[in-house]
Amino acid sequence: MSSSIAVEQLTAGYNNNQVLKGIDLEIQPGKVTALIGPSGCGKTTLLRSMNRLNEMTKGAYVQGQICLDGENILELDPILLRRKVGMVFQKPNPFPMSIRENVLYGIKAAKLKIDQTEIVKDSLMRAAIWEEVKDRLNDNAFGLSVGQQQRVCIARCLAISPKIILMDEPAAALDPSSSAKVEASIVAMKDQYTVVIVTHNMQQANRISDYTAFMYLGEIVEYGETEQIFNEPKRTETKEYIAGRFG
Amino acid sequence: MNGQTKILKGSRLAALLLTLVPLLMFLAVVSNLVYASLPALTQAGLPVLFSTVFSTIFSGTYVEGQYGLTPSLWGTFLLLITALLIAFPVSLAMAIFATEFSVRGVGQAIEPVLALFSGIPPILYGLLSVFVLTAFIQPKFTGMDLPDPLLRSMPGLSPAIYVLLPRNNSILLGGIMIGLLIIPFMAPLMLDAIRSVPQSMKEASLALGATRWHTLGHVTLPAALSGIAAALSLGALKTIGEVVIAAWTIGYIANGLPVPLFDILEDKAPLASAAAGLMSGLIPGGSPRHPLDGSVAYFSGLLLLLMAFAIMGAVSLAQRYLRRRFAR
Amino acid sequence: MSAESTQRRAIRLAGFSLGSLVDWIVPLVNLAAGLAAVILASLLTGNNDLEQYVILLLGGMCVTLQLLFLDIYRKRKTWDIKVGLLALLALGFIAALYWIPKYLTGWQINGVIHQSLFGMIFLLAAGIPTMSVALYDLLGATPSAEDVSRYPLILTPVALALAVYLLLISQLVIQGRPGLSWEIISKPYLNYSVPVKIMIAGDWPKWSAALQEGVGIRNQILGTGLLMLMTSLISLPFGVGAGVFLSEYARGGFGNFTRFVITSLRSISMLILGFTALSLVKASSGTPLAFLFKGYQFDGFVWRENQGGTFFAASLVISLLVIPVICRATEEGCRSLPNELREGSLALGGSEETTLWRIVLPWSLANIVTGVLLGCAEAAGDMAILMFIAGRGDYGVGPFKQVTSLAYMVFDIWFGEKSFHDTMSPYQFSAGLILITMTVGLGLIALLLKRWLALRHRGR
Repeated sequence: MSSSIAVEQLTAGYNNNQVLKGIDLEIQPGKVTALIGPSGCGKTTLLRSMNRLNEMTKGAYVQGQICLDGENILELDPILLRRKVGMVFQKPNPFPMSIRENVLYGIKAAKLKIDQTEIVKDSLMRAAIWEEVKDRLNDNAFGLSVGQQQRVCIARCLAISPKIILMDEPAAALDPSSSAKVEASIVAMKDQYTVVIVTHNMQQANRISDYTAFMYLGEIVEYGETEQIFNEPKRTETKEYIAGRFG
Repeated sequence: MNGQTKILKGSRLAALLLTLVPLLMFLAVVSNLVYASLPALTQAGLPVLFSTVFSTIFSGTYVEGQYGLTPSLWGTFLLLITALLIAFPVSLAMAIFATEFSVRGVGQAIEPVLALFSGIPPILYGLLSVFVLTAFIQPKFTGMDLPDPLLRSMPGLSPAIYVLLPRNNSILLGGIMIGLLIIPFMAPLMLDAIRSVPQSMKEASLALGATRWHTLGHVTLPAALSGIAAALSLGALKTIGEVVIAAWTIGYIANGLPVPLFDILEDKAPLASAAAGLMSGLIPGGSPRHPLDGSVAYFSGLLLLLMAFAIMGAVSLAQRYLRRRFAR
Repeated sequence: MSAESTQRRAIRLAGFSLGSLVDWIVPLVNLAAGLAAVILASLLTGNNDLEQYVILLLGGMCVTLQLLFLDIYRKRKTWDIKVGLLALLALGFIAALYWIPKYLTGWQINGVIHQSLFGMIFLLAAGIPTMSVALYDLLGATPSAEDVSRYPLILTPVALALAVYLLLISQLVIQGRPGLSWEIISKPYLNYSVPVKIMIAGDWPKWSAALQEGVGIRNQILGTGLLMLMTSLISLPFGVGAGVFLSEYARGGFGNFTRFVITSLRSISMLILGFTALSLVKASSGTPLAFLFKGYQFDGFVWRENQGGTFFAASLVISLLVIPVICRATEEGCRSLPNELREGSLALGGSEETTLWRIVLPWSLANIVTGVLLGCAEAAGDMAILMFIAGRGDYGVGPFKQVTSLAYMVFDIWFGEKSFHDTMSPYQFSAGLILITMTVGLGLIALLLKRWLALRHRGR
């Protein structure tokens, strides 16, 4: 039901700056995988190359393979790819439209014929925000608080039923209570969706993820089950990072 | 810091004084305009000024005191529509080409080109209108290749045509040239408006699997509407104010409303050149033929000023509405 | 397996899958047909004779579109309604062209419309969508292909507009180049100041010879230059002052009001400014100020008040247009100053004034220069303001002599009296050519300056 991603020998960068240096990574289907590491280690670049959003930056280049269920996404139509691989951004970016329009955006863009009221309700419920907005679906999304906006963005992403969901520090800009709700919805996404989440918050990674990859200077230093990474890290760099010796 | 000090000294005083001068000059211009229009208002009166009859010595049926400005107001309106209909799509296409749909960065080369074109003075558009006239307008719209008897036998032909063929002046020609004039001014504004749409919004749309075109239509352009409105406003202001091109391509006279109403092939002069005609007695460098002529010309200028303020005000309102709808 | 993989055959080009060769042919033919339609439409602009090919081409498109319709079914097992409708549209256009008479008139419109105009419109209306659907199919009917298929819609207006600009400018060059010569540039049209001097000296034969001074545009060229110079000199202090005021000192209501007025100055019709110049000149007549605004000429016998207005008067009014330009440029420059530099100066004990003169203004210098250059270009190209007060520079060029410029000359040659028109009309385009070189040249320099500015700022 859910999909896997296999990254093989991925190098990527912008102009003369090489950010990723030969990444090999297997994302397990139906699980939450966290990418952790200090700033500049390339986790966001890796995430964005999974839905080819890195191509939006001028001078971006990519070599290697990223296989979604066996197909190399670098040879696919990027737009079709992005309908299978959704993304939630660090800073909530709802459209200046009503909440309903926001959630339905991806569906309308892909010209899908789905029962709209159903999907709006379903997505907003999965994003743990249905109760709060069910009476004001036609209000402008900009009127919501930051935490609510982010959850609407998550609902928007879920509405197109992607196989993989990429999250770039989704709770970083939120207050603790919204953050907790977001984490709860992520945990609820397991099995049906494969989630890859970049986070600076190690406790968060520990709480919600099944697998964790620790990146440093453009390479995957260590990758394994979250339990193992946080309790018995094999590499010193991992140990140091988790202990907070460098950020 | 003393940033808020109210003491006027030194360079601050100098800056203030220097700023006051253009302010005062502006006030002088406006008051001069109002003052000089007074005779027209008092002696001719508003009903005359807004009638549709405007006769001059050259129209063969000169009746003193007929200063109907409505035909030239209508002429201004037709000119505005024509010029904007030509310039708006082209400017928008250029702006889109330079930002969202550029082919490997070629689109950005358009910007310096536009900057260069914006340096072409309006008088040269007047001069070059001859080419547009002979190459496009005359073959297509004046039946130039027709021998006369054939022309005369056509049904529904306005009798005046035969007298005027081949024709040189039309609002269409003026609209084309003014459209060409304003494109290099509108396009960069639209460009900036599109560029200023936050990248995060475009990314959000693309990340949901929308095509670039869909993003453009549903996210980018709606968000850029405020800037696009500003571009439209600039184009409109330049069009109604443009005397030289109008004088060259359309003429100075607007007597009676065009028949049919939207006939841009007629040469009903817009307000700007009608007023110029009044002021110079239809001879370059001349003076008004009738004492009241000059005053009516100033009144036309006043009307143009009011129109300009109206356009600026309308756009400002529109932008405020848009900001409320789209603001975070 | 997913729909895309079954569709994939051999070739991939820049991320698009193109299928085998057979799949290419029909859409490619359609693309060519659409392109030919657009090209024919452009050629038809000047040439009515080509209209015989219009129906041919429309018919051809109709056929190729139907082929495409069938081909899409073969390839993807769907009926593409858009293509079908487009074929019908082409058919409809052909029918319309048979129905529209060769010369359309009636409803009392003031002209006779040639059928080829409709041919042009139909060709564009059918050709652009044809190219779009052809591209879409050619590139594999994926969403990315949909984006590429929009290019014809965007590129056609851009290309056509650019072509028009280039054609017009090239006409200017072609017609203007022959007239250019050192002779023309160095001689004035009529320069009374020389004969006057000669007359005073009493040398009668030389006087009549001097009056025949040949055909030339020297005074207009000098006049344009003087106009630029004087306008810059007048607008610079006020523009910079206002710019500094708005960026450094203005607060609240007054600042907004000032900004409104400055913007309005740019928005008011050129006509109004022309009238202002005229009023200024007329009002000063008979008063001592007449020297400034109307100027006096000594024609050998008596000091006579000029007909029109002086360079000074013209520059004064033109500066109303240029001050906002310099003001905005200065404001931009001041605002772009990084706060650290400003605070640094104040922290070192510099007063506001020192900061202004030593830090802010030098930083904004390039912006100000850009503004001045653009202002010069405006002054050079201006005609509306000069319209009522300018002349032919008969008495030479000077701040208090009658204003003249290349822009005015172009207008004058066309609309002026017959004798002037006849002698000077060969040089109309030459004058225009020199003028455009000046204004575009100034614009180029201003552009380069802006680029350099952007680099400097980004580099920080």
